[in-house]
Amino acid sequence: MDDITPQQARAQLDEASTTHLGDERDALRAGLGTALIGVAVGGVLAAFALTRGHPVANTLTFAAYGLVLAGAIQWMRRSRTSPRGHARTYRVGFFATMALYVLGIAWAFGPGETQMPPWALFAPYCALVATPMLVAGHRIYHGAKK
Amino acid sequence: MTSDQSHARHRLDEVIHAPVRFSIVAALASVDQAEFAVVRDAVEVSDSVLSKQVSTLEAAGYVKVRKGYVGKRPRTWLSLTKAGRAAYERHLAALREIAADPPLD
Repeated sequence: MDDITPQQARAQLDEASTTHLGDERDALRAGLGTALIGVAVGGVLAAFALTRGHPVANTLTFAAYGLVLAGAIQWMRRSRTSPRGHARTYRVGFFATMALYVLGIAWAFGPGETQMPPWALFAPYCALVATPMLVAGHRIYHGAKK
Repeated sequence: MTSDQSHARHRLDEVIHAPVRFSIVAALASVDQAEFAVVRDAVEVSDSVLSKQVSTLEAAGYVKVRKGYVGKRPRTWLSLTKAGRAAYERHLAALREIAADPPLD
């Protein structure tokens, strides 16, 4: 390997510190897409509760949820770059949101649950379900700008 | 180990040291993954040059190449592997040591 002078080393270090591939639009897309999926999961939990006992409305809710999810994923896939840490932050947010969603389903529709939990408790819980993905979306967007 | 071999230049990664490959790795280090065309434009090389250098990095286990489609359009995605990121960090550490060396009289 050729020797390298301190000046050349500094030039390479300068290049390393100034090179950044990600762009604002891709970061926004990744952050917003992540947040949108969180809102969709929280929203579908609330919608399932609202349409309880109405199979047609339930099915339509699920179909709308699937469309929003597929749209958000497709939209995110159009990005040309994926911000640093995006995949890991997304995964953490997604698993936390899904864990809260499953607990919410068990709370409202589990065996022996014949009545809906009070909305004063359940509505904030649905917002809580979306929170990990909202936080992940925020971190992905702002992390990419650093 | 002799004192010569302890010099930071011996810790430079031979695969990453080449200028174009260094630029590719530096660019990929700033993202999780990027499209082939984005890297090509950032590094300012032709498709064939990037392809050749990426093959070398892939053979070293530093870069992962993933092919897929967005709609009907074929896309190639490049990302640094864990080993690639670690090698790049070691390379940068060696560069920092060399850069800090006082000039020889």
